[in-house]
Amino acid sequence: MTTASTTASTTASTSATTATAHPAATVSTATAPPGAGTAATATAGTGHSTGTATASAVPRIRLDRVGKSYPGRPSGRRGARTPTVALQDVELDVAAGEFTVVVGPSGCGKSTLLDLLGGLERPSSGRVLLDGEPVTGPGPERSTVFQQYALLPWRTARANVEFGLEAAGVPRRERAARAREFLQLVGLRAFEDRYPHELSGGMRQRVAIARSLACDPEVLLMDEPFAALDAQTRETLQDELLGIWQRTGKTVVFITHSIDEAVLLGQRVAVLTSRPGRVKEVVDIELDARGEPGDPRSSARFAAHRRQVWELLHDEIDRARTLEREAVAA
Amino acid sequence: MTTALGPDTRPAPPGAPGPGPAPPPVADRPRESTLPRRLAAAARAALTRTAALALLLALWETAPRLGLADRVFLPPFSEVATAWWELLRDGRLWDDVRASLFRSLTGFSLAVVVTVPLGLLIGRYRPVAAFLGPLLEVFRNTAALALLPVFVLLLGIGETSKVTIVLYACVWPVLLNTIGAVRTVDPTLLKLGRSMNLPPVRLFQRVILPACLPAVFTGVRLAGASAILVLIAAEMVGAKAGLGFLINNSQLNFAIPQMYAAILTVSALGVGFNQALVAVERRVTRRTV
Repeated sequence: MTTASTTASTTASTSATTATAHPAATVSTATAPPGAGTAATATAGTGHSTGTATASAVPRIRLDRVGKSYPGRPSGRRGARTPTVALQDVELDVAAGEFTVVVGPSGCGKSTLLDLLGGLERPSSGRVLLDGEPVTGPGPERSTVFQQYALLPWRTARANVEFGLEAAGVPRRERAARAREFLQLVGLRAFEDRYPHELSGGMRQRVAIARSLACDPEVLLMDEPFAALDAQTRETLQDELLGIWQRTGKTVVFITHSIDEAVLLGQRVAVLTSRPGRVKEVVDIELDARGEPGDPRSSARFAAHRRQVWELLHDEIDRARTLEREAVAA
Repeated sequence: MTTALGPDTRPAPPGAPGPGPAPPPVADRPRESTLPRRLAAAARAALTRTAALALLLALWETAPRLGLADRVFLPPFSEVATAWWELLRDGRLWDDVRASLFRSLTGFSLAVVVTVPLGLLIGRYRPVAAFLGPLLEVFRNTAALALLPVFVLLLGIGETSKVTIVLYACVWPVLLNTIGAVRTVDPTLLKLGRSMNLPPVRLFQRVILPACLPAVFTGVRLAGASAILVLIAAEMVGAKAGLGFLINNSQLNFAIPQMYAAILTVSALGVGFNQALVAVERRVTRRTV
């Protein structure tokens, strides 16, 4: 890291601490005080043997009053540039090894949030911290799985997995072995020589997941990865993802608009408000059947959590709808 | 996917003699019936593909003989073929083909080598596009042949002006297709590259270039067609050798069968060139969608 960026980050941190000190309003909007993060860490440590029980006071990911706005287009008649505020004062801590799901109404800035975590975008205000260090760009310790798979169509499944390793500078011979190993992990060893167009949607997404995991990132960022899949494939992949997460102990931040998916996958579910997106509430999910045989989707706990998240979300969806209508009318 | 999985997951039951005879025919019947059927299909395909050509040649042969066309201006195909054979034997045809091939291939290759990188640059970097865009628009809409007198004035009547006009004609299809290809690279792939922290050169090499190849090749093939097209026209206006010169010269000397022979050679050259480019394209872009 350069000295310039370090000084910038220190000044940013001082301003951020002063900012967090004053308005009491932020406490009500952002319901993820530091305590919630550590509490969740405890559940992660006990409930799942992920081997990351050594989580210290510094969370793996911390979103500190993060805001993001885009310079708006000059709108037709008036020609005024009103910036679009995608995210405002987002506060969220994710402990190491934790599976956090972010759910929110469409257009609330979920994907923007993931771009910020991935380092593809810079926050307009606040800080995105990874192990206490501000995120300044993409890095090998984070890997993203996209909704549209983002496989290179001219490469086979194995070569696609190797692509991530090439970028990470892994020597050629090691690449093939690692790619095979991770294709095995997602159950596609037999399909390593197939091109993406020869694979089904579910298989493509599994290749993409294998590619992300092969680089051995600490954090897996998933941007609605199962949204384009049919219901059955989605369920299978959800179960597989949980299995992989339990085996590898990765920190996962998973974006979705599906309440069922959020409750099923997440240890914690962060519900975002409609635009501008803030964290409305973070719900701790307790599903004892997770990872065990039987369908956790039919348990009473699942239903209760589902209802809880649904109620939180539906106010926001209604609000988003009225906002949209007003925008159309104006 | 499912079709591929089928045979793997369901292994054929090892031969149970009683109901055994039933499965083998099921397995064999398609194979037995496909071979003749495939041959028949191939023959039919070959017939459909050559029928139109054969019909044209037959018409060409009979129409002058039956007096439907003036035999002087449209000699029967057999006479043209004889003339072609004589031109080939006395070596004149080869001289002209060589001259034309050299000019078109040089101009074409130079155009591809210069234009593909330029197109990638223009497509990728908006400032470059904004700067060069209007200029390109003007040149693109100036017909290559309209500039022939200019090239002759500036570069003389020799090889340079002909290679240059071919180069000029080849640049546009390649350039426009390359620019378009770069602009339409799947944004998620670019995002992937960025999230993997690929340096710009690697991103070009590993993502943008392979993603663009099919569209670039479309442009290259269009350029291949216009390379021959423009060259023949240029050779007709002012040249001492080349197929265009042969066509024009034969017509002036009233050697009509030779003229047709030269025209046929041009067609064959064009078809051959295009086929070669298609073969190269198949080689380079292994994608089969």
